[in-house]
Amino acid sequence: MPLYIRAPYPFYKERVMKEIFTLKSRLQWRVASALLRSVGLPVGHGWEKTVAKFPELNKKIEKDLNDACRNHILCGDKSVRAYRLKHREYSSIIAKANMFLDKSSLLTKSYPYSLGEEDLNDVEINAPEFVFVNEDSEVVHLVLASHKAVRVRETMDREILAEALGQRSLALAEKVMSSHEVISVRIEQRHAYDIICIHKERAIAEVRIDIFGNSNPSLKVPEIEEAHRSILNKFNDIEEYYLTNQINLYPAINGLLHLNEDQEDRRARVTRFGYLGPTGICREERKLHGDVRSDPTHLAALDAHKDDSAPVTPYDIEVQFPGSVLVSQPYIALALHGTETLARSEKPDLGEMTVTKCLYETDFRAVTAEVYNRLK
Amino acid sequence: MASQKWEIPRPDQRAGLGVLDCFEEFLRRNEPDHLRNREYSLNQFAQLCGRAEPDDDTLNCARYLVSQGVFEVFYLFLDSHGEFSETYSAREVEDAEQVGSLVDPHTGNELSDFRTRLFPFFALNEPKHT
Repeated sequence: MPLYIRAPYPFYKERVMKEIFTLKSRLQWRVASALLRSVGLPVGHGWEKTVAKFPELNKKIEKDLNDACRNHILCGDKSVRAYRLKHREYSSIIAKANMFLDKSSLLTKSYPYSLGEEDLNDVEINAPEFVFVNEDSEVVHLVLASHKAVRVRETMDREILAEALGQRSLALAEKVMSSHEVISVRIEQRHAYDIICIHKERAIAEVRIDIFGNSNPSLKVPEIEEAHRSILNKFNDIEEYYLTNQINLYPAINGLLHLNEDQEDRRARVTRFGYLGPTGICREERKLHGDVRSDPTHLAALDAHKDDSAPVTPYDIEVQFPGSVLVSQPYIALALHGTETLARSEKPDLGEMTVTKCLYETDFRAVTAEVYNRLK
Repeated sequence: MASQKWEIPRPDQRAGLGVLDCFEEFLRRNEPDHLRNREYSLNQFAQLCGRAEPDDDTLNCARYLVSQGVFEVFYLFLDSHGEFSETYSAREVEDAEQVGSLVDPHTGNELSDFRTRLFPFFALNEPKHT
């Protein structure tokens, strides 16, 4: 249920309910709470209590929240594919995208906010719609809106469930009560904003697909694949065969493993690393608290491989970067997820990366630049 | 290079013979250099004290070493996909205990059954105890 219809709020809270609903539906709580603190709002124990304790808002807070929505649409929790561009002539693309903007559409009118599930059900959306076009000195942003069906997992109250089931099957009720936890999976429609970002200097276009943190709620791999395909199809209406030369991101994995390696105070941390050893055995290392590169097990494994003639073959990495704008923000996570099959192939090709927990477009560009700079 | 040695005061006798035994075993079996940059679950910590699995004595020994600043304790959050996705500090978990609920790091909803979702891990603090 949308937050803004749950309780009658004082008028000053009603003014920002669209922003709060947008942030609640798009951001993971830990990221959202850091953001709210940074704009000067008190943070309570969860969303409900936070909104309940909002003080009288001023214009600056309202503007900051609005900016946060606009920024998060561009850079928050995205699956990213990159394409090398054939030419650097962008003005016709901008002009054509503007022609596709339908200012009477509900999706265009609601930008930069998220619609609730009930509102989305009333809109007939067959394909992503262009809702916003923006250009600055460095990039062009084409914003497309659609809705995505995501799986939301929630812990159920066992006693209530067992009582309801007990009327039909006592055995099932007993099974529920003896289980550790009962989780329900619900399909929910979410308002998604997907982006085509053209980097003028690099002559690269990124397709950034909303994945909503991809933990809870979650999208499956074929659904993300389908979302990428539908954005490409839509872009073909503007310029056919423009986004065809997809960049292989695989070569960046090895470079990212050595990021900041020579610095004592590592700003970036490698939290996951998967590789194929010379003996053909796969290893996956993970460390949520710290850096896998400092772990003696990791160092010992790599030292052992140094003695062999064949080097290790990396296929999976996750790096966490601190936010440059928001110091209190949890780490921005960049992941290049490959599989063992990828590592074993003759010409490994990895077309996708994910960036999560990012709040600002400038940080997003800085993080993806770490990948592009390591492709050669 | 000579390996570093522990400099940790012995727990008070009142802690009990079991805790003292765990503590002595911990000092005897481990050197600071070997424990650095690693994280230990409760099971792994029990093994550092020579026990096959955690019991009250190993728990109290762990509490003592944390109180002496030897180890830092943190918690991994098991999400609804069954994956460890977030870390919580001891301070955050204390706050949750006081309030009676933990905020789900993804949804921002309050979780009252959070104790089954948090798993303690221990990491060696640097390096005042050696």
